[in-house]
Amino acid sequence: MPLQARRRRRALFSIVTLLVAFSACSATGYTLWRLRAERITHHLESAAMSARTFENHLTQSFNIIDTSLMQAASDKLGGTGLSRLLRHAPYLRSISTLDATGRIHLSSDPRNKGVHLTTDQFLPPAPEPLEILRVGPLLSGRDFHDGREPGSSAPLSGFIPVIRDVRLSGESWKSAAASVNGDYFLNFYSAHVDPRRGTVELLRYDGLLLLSTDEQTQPGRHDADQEVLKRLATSEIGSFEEQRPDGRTTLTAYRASRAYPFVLVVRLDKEQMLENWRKEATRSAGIVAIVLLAGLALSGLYFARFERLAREREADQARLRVAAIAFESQEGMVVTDDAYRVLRINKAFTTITGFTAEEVIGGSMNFMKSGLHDSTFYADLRAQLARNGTWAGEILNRHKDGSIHAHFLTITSVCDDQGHPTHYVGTLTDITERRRLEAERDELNRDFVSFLENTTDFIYFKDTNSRFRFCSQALARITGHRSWRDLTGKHTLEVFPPDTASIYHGEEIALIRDGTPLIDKTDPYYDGEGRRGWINTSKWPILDESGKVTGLFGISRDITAHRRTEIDLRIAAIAFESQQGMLITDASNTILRVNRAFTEITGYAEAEAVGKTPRLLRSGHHDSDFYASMYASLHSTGAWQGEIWNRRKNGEIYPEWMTISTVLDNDGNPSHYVASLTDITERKEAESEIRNLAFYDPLTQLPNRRLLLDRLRHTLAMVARNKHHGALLFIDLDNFKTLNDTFGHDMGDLLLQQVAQRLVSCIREGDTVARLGGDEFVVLLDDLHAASTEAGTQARIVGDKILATLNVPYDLAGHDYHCTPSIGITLFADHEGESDELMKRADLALYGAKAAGRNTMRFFDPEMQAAVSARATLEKELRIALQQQELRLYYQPQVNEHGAIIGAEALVRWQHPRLGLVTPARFIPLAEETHLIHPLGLWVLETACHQLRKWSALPTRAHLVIAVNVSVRQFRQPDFVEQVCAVLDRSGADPNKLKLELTESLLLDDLEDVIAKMTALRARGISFALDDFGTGYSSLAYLQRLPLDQLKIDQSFVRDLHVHPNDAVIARSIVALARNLGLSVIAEGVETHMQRNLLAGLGCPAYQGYLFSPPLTREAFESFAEAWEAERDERP
Amino acid sequence: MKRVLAAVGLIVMASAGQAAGHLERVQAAREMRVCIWPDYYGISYRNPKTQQLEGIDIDMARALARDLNVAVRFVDSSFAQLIGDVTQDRCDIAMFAIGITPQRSDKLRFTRPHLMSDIYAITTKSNRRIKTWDDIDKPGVVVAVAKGTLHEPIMRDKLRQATLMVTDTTQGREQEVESGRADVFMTDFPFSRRMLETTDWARLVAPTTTYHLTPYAYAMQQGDNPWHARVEQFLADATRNGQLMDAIRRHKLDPIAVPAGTSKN
Repeated sequence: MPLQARRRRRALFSIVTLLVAFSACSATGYTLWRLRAERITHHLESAAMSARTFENHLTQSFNIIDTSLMQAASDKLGGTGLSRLLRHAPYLRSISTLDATGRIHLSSDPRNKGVHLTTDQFLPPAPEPLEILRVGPLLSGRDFHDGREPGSSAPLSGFIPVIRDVRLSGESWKSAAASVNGDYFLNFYSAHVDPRRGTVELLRYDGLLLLSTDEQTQPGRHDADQEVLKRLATSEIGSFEEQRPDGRTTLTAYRASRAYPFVLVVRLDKEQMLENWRKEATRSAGIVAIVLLAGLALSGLYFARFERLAREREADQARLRVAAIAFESQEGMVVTDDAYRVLRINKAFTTITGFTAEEVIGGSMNFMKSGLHDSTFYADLRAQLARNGTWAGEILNRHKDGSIHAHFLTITSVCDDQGHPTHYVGTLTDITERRRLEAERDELNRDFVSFLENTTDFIYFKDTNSRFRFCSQALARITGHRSWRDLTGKHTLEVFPPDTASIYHGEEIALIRDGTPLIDKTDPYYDGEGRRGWINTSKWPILDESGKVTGLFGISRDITAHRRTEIDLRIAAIAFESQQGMLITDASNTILRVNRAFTEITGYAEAEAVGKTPRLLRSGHHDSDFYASMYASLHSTGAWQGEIWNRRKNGEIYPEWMTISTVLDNDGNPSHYVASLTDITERKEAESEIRNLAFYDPLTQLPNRRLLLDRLRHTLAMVARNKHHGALLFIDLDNFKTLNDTFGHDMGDLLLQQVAQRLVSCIREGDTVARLGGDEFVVLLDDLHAASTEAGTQARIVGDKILATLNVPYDLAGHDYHCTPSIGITLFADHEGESDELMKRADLALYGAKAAGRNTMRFFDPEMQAAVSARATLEKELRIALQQQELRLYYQPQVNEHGAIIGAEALVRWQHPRLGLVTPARFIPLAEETHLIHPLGLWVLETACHQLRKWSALPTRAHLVIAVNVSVRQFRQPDFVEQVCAVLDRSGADPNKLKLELTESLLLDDLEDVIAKMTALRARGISFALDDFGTGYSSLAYLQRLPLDQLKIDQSFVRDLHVHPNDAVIARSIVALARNLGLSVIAEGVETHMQRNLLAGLGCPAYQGYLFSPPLTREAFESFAEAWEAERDERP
Repeated sequence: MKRVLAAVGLIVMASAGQAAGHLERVQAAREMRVCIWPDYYGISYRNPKTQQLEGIDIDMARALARDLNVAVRFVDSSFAQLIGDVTQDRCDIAMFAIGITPQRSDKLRFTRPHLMSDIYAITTKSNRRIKTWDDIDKPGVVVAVAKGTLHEPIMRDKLRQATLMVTDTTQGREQEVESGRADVFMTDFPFSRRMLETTDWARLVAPTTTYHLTPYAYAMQQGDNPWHARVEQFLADATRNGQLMDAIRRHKLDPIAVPAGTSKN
């Protein structure tokens, strides 16, 4: 509706405006058109006036010319008289008189004389003389004397010839002529009509152009002014608008001379004439236009103002409508009269307060009072309302249900024309919820500020220009600001160092441009001390409701430490996957991780190894001490390294080089162990191979010369230290060269390998067999007997064994082959020469053996050779003696303190067929070295047992106990106990009557074994005596443990008993010891009564020795015993 | 010619006879006789309508008389009569911007020049032959000069192709030109000004470059040194105190004024 009205108003305004403008334009146009017409009229009149003036001037001038001509013709003036006529006639060039023939016979210009005048072209034409002035056409030239018809162009100068006939007296006629100066008239016309504005033409009455102020026109034309001539036919005066042949329009006026045949034509250029009008018209139109525009502008402004007022009026109406709607808005509204009586409420009021219209209308406003405001509050309210006409504020009101609500109340007073309030309008908003939200927001703000001030992260909010709005205190600190508030408004580029600022700024530009968040970017940064570190940054755009980016916020976190750890870990991970096997365990030795190299070395995959302990790899090659020292090193130094034998998953045992490092936790306790291991099997093998090549003979795998010499040096040192002997045996195969030549080297090599194996089988562990090359072998024996003879025997025995072994036939690729060796031996002891010397000696001994006919051995030392040979002979004979029963058993009686024979010691004697009786001292050691002691000892025991069996049948002999010596070697035999028992069983002897005598050297052996064997035999009833007591190493502890029955005081103490008090002390001690241990004592070597008495005095109750009897054969002993018993019986 | 020579002889004798004493005579008679040409517009022009004399030299003559504390009496003369009027003592001094020419210097004594004019031509507005100065000396062109003026000998000497017409009077040369019998007449700057101001047909044709400059001065009898010195002193004073320049400006002749200090006889 208002829109339509507005459109109508605008249309009306436009039409009126257009009408006014049109009228003004029309009026102006009309006026100007009128003015133009007037101008044209005016100028036509002006042209006519000019024409009249010029005609007047012309006619008067020609009157004078006419008069002058009449005078010239009538009077006889002569030349000077004619000239005098010209004096004040500038329109004449000359004046002349003609003779009857028409020639000039007198002229003011003498040069004209004789010129003939042709007048047929003159006007008016006159066949007869005529008393009027006639006019000729314009001639070119200054005067008659050079006058001629004008050419095609306007002449530089010209004149109009005129003539006048004058009747003299009677019928005679005289003619006078003049040349009229046209320039005179042109000057006159030009002075009056500006040639630029118009032209003046002088026509002859017949239309011939005589003069024109327009220099372009050509005089003499007839056709120039058809229009003028046409009009001249009707009127001699006229003016009109003329269209010129050149296109111009002229305001033309013409006028014929009153008396002479001339017509004057004045043409004014219409355009020129209208020039002023045009200027004036332009000016007028301009003024009108300005005025019109000004008027339009004013009316436009007025219309705009009118429009605005109209709009305001409409707006007022709209406001009223809105107010009506607003009254039913979400805000509670109440209208009261001036006494605060409720007139009207809206629905929202009911919603807010709970009160309905029926309940409150007509009543006072007090119904909502909460009672929480005091009376001054309400008084102030009314006072302010009265003063300002409005009051706004928060007020606590009581809801109909009794609850108190915070309301925002606006009261506006409505006043009458005198300014007195007539109504009050209250607007009510329940702001309880808003209050709650505000409190919540305040709390949120407080918490957020607290968060910003306390978080260690860099939090920041910026506007779209990268200027800080707010940020966390941590960020303020590293950028050198005291408070985060100091950063507000600062730009990113001015806050951070340039190299990092440009990165952050670039991120923010992109983020604000694209609106896409930046997540988890790692950027460099500088902390408060200027150290370079790393931050993890995420930034998000902040968008308004329309999705436009209004700023950004971001979180950055210092990840320098984390990143360093990460790098370390990465490096560690790469290092971990090195070529070395790696193994990590925790403190409790549980495997946490292994690498690929570990799996390749050990065969255990990671899954198989993790969770186990490194015991998985144990080879069993190392004892517990090895691992204990390893852990000790780890605990003390934190590291261990060394070679260790481990077992692969496939069971293979291999050496590896292992390095273990301890990782400590923050408290300094081991948290992990890191082991790196390298398989050094190949290295070991390589080392071994190298050693083999260096020290071993490749063919036989025996030590080579080099290793032999090395060991020889060792042996020499050892021998010197231990006071032992060593021996070097050179062994050479007889006729080896023949074998090689006959069967080839392959066969030879096969033989050498078999010889090597047999040689190794011949020697003890610790001895060395070496191959020097070819068929030359060397055996190095150490730890031989300290006595050279025994040592020689030991060496010989080995040599014999070698000889016997190598003499056994060989199987060489199916061929039975017999081969014999030759052996050279040298013994050595302390400081007996250097290695080379010994080798030479052995080599020389070998030559000796070869020279002795091969398949034999020879000693380097001839005495040794002799001694050894002798002993060898003796051994052979002893062996025979055992077989041939050449040995005899002798018995030496043992007597108690009462002199009774209580037993006998069995002693072996060799009845040599050539040497006679050989003492045990000569053959027992030999028997011991050659193991003949075993059959010998057995023979002694069997013989003694048989004797006991025999004696047991005799009442006088049944009590006798036989003591049998048992050598250490014999006792050491594992089946010794069984042998003894077998002998007892076979002989049927009473074990109680068998006493075995042992030496103290036995106690140096395995004591437990000794005790076990003794205990076993004692269980059968056998008793034991310790021989030669006091010379050896027996300690009290041994004595206590051994199941002994008797100690036997060595004869060395007995022999000097009466000479050396010490011996007596020893003897006494032995007796006391035995008594304390519950053992019996017997003294041997008792040869005198004094000795026997002294011993008795010491408490020794049994004796053996030459005082009583030497060792006797069985027969002799039995005899002696019968005699001794008899004799004793005789003694009191 | 004989008559002219005789006249010259008379003049010489007369001059010799009254050799000394113009100054004394003027002061004794308390009157100074000044020869003028009353048609010389701007110089010594007698306005025909009022019969009053006006012009720079009328002003200067009156000033000189005032300086001498005597009356002044103007004696009509002309260029044709000048030498005779002065030498025959019809006036004490000729003051009408007399061009210093050799012929005149032979007979008269000049003061130092105060004006200097070139030669100008006057033609009619409607004359189609003469557009510029260069059109003047062409075949068929008739050039008029007044007899006795300085232009007569100069133009006689300078014209090569045009025809020279010598008129007896100065009016004659104007009539010849206005009637078309002559195309131009030659005159100086002051007279050309008069033509342009008093006729509606005259048109000025000025030389494109300097054609022939003539210094103008006052003339007196030769041999009367005190008189000459007295007049010179007056002119010096008038030049110095600006009287001369004021007069020149009053009559719009400043284009041809001789710059002060450049003239020295």
